Amino acid sequence: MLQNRTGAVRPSSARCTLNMIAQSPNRLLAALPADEYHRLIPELHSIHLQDGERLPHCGVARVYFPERGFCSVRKVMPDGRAIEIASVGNEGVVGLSALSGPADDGCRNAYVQIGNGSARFMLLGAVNRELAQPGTLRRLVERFSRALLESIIRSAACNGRHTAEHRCVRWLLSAQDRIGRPQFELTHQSLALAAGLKMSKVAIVLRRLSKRNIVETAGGMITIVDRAALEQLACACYDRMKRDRDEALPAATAHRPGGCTNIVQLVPDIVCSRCHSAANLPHDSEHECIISIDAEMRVLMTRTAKLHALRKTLVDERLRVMRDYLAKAQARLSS
Amino acid sequence: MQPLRLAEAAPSPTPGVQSTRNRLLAALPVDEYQRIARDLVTRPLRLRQVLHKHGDKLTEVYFTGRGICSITNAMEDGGMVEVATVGNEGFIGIGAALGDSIASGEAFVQVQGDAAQVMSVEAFRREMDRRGAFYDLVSRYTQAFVGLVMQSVACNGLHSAEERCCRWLLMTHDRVEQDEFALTHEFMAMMLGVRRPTVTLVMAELTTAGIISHVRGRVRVVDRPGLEAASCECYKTVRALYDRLLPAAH
Repeated sequence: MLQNRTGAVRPSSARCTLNMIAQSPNRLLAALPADEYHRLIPELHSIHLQDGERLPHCGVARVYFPERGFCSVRKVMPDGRAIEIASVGNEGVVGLSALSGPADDGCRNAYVQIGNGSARFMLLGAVNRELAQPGTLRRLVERFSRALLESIIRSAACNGRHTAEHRCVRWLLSAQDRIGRPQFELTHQSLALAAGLKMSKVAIVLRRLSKRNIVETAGGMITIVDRAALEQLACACYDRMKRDRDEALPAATAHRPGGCTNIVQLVPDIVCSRCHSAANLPHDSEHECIISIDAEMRVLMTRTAKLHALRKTLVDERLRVMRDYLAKAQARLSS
Repeated sequence: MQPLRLAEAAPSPTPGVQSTRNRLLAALPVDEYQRIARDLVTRPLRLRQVLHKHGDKLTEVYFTGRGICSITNAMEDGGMVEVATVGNEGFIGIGAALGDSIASGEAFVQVQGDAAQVMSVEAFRREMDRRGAFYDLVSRYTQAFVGLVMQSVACNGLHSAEERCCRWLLMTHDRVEQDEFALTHEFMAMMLGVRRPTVTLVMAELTTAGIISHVRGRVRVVDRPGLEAASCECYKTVRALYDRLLPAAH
């Protein structure tokens, strides 16, 4: 790849644009202009999250940008009962102090991953530093914050007026939207916690839904079989919240094609139609094609050599650690 | 529907003298307040006046004095549910502090009180961009407000109608600063998003327990500690949050 370790693209030609930065599926990050995103890359750390896992240090020392799966922001009451306040998927960010509400006034906040997935996190201090200066990130975060407040207001209303079934259905539909597949990890307990209902109530609702062949539950997984029927059962709150969420999304994702893939793009925007190389465009003769192919191969070979060297150092280090460990274990056994 | 009303009309501020009944503005350093006061226009609020509807582009921010403004969410079936109230500790138009100046929820005057001090969104954003005392106070209030709405989500989802009625009575009691106020069952049911008979039942229970007395559209809080005991912990949580984040009442 024509990409150095800091993520900056090596300019192979002034006339072609290469699109080779590892893009985040988080749409808020994807909407950042390239230079701002580059500046943030060293601060953004990737993390894999299991379904039901607490986001480590979220809201205390870290801020998370969900990528796959989503984060359920919950309030845990003094008596231990919990309820979902909001859910944030790849359209936003969780853990910002301005939006975490009360942290030490009797009710704790809990940030729980739903569906196996991944996220990027940033230290709270670094985010606050970024947000202190005017820029796209600040604008996007402010806009997202308002949309989040909107959805919280709507949840308050829905919880106040609508039935347990409505709330479960709303949650299932938005979970499917966010996870992006009809089958995902879900236990009665996690749905009960998310909807703020008793386990028995959730069991009844899910039973009723599966009897009508709308969902199937087995082995800690749920499958939404009949999405249309589920939508029929939902209250207006689902549509409204989805619409608000979509409207709040930055429209500026167009300049970054493949904004929802985490794979480094292999094909540059503009390539020569004959040799498919992006270097030194345009190529007027076969001779120029050969030269640019050579140039690209040199870059790739240098990169491969560097990776080889890096791999060797890492393997050596790992072997040394294992040898030390074995030596110590042997010494313990013989003594 | 019986309107809620404060017993005495608030004295209007002396002309020419910079005074405010809004605690947030009152907490500003004198020189900052004097600068900001140039952008403030005093405007009386009418009972039931709608200050913004959901999705409106905000043009003005209201720094309210005594009285109660309700932030509600209008439902598709024509009903509404109250998600927060604003008194003299904050302002109406949180959206202006959150970037794109779009109104969240519907705000209307629930209990008529003092005139509000109105500021244009441009002036508000300008002051926010200074990152001074005004920004700090507004940010803290925004955080408290979001906390209150979050607590409403939890409370509405987890707690019984009885507990929620008690919490609502406590918050109203704090805001109107008097033991007796006008209140109908319809209005309370609408605000809480529950059915009217439920409210009637709860009010009857509270009356029997000697916690409130309730005659013809007026409620009197008789046993405040009793009311606090009957309420869920959400009242205390929100109270602690507001006390921690907002300037103290003088």
